[in-house]
Amino acid sequence: MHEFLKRLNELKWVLRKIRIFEVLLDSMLLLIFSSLLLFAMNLPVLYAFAPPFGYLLMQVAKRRDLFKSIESKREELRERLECAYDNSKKDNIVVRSLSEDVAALLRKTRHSFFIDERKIVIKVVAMVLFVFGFVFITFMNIKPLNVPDLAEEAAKQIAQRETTSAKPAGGILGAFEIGAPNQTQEAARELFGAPSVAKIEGEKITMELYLGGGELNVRETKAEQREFLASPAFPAEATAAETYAENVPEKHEKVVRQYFEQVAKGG
Amino acid sequence: MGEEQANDERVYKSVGDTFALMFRELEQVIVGQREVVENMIITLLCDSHALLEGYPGLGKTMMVRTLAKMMDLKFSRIQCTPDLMPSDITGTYIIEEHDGKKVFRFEPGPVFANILLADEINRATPKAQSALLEAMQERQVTVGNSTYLLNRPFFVLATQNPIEMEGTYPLPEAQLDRFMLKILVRYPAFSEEKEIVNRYTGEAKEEIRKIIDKETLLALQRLTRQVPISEEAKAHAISIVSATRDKENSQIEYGASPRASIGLVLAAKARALLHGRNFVSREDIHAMAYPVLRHRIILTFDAERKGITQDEVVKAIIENMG
Repeated sequence: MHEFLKRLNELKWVLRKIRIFEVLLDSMLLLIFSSLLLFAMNLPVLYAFAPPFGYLLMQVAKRRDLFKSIESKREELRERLECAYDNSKKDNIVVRSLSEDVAALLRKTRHSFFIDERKIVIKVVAMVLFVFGFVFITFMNIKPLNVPDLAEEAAKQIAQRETTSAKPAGGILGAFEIGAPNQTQEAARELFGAPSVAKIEGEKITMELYLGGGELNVRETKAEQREFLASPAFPAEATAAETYAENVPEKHEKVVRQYFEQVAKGG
Repeated sequence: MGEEQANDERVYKSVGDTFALMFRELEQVIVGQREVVENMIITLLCDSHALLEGYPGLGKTMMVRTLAKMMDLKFSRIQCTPDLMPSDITGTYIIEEHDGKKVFRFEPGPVFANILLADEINRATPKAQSALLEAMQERQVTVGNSTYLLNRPFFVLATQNPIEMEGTYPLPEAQLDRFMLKILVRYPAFSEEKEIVNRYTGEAKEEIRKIIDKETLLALQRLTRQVPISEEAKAHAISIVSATRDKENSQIEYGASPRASIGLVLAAKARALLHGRNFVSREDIHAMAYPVLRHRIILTFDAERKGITQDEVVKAIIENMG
């Protein structure tokens, strides 16, 4: 057997071991980073196993060309190694000369050529930093972001915007439509009276309001104004009265009753 | 076989020195034209034939004659003209008288040489051309009822003049395919031309020494075929030739045949040996693609009208391959 084939087999195993080590290191790094991220967002840390698992599967499925891996590190072996390997079953003076050259070059190839020390150091330092981050968050009792609650809050606000933008359910009472679309706040105050003011203290306020007349304003008592959602003004519109018996004023009713009483007496 | 193998090993050990000495000796007579000389030696190493195309006065005959002297090979030259007969190439029977009896004796023609230079082959008639081409293919000639084997090694270096094409008989594509390489001989650079003038208007003339003998040349031919090539490089060479047959290429009417693939791989092996390498690299394949393919590709009318050359088409194919 050509001497270079033995050396090539040896290198194949070394490369495989280095590759396994690199993949495991990357998976660990991914696991720690995912865990830190999920912990910071108050999500279940169990999900952190998904990214490294996916990464492992990808690396297993990926095919690596042995010759390209070796030739990328040893320029002198470019094209030579593959040619010697493909012709290893032939025996003539030229092939023997090639295999001797390749064997000599492979003998000079140290295993450390295939280890990217800089990358490994960076990854190990990153792992240490992430673990330190974990310890720091836990030791300092820093509260996580609580992403689930934030998501729930955002969903509620979106839902609220959608419902308050719909037409209010105020109907027509007799001849009037309550509220006018363009009525000013002052006019609305004359119709419905001064607004009620309530002070509610606390960080979390859950309020349920039934849609009806008027306007809801929520203001912070602190100097800094924050955004609030104001329900739109219930359209308060005064229109001309219709002649329904239920809506006739009392004075007019009295006059009409007196008239008919007199007509009845005379007739 | 053992003796042959021992001879091959002896030749291989000194192959680098042998070629270096050959080029040094050639430079005494031929100025520049390094690529042309290389391609001619590659043709000899592949035991094949080449077509030389160049304007008159560029030293084509001198190059071939010098090579023949250096390799201790028998050289003969045929000036092809429209009245050249096949028997002028192959030889003929002549009547001789011995002891009062008349006998026919075969007089071998110029084809019975090791290196045959057929000048302006496109001026010979198709009948004369076919006689030569048969000798190239079969390495034998048939005259009457007798078949005569040609000498080994046997090379035909045919020349073509790119001007004065009126009244010529261009070689058909099927016959052009028998030439492994088409070598273009270009004008020398100013400095080279100056050196040529100095040498050939001066007093002393260099004599060419014999560098290798016939046996060494045959050994070099065997070693050429032994140069290994990787499967990837082989596939790359075949892909380049196949690309000339791609119907989607709007510049090529007809592409090269599998004979071109054989020629390309063999020429790449010879080039590797010539450059002192014991393996074929992509560089060898790319370098040899031009002389191997340029006479086997027929361009479309549109491409010719635009002035696109076969070399440009081959270059585009190689660049696309990556």
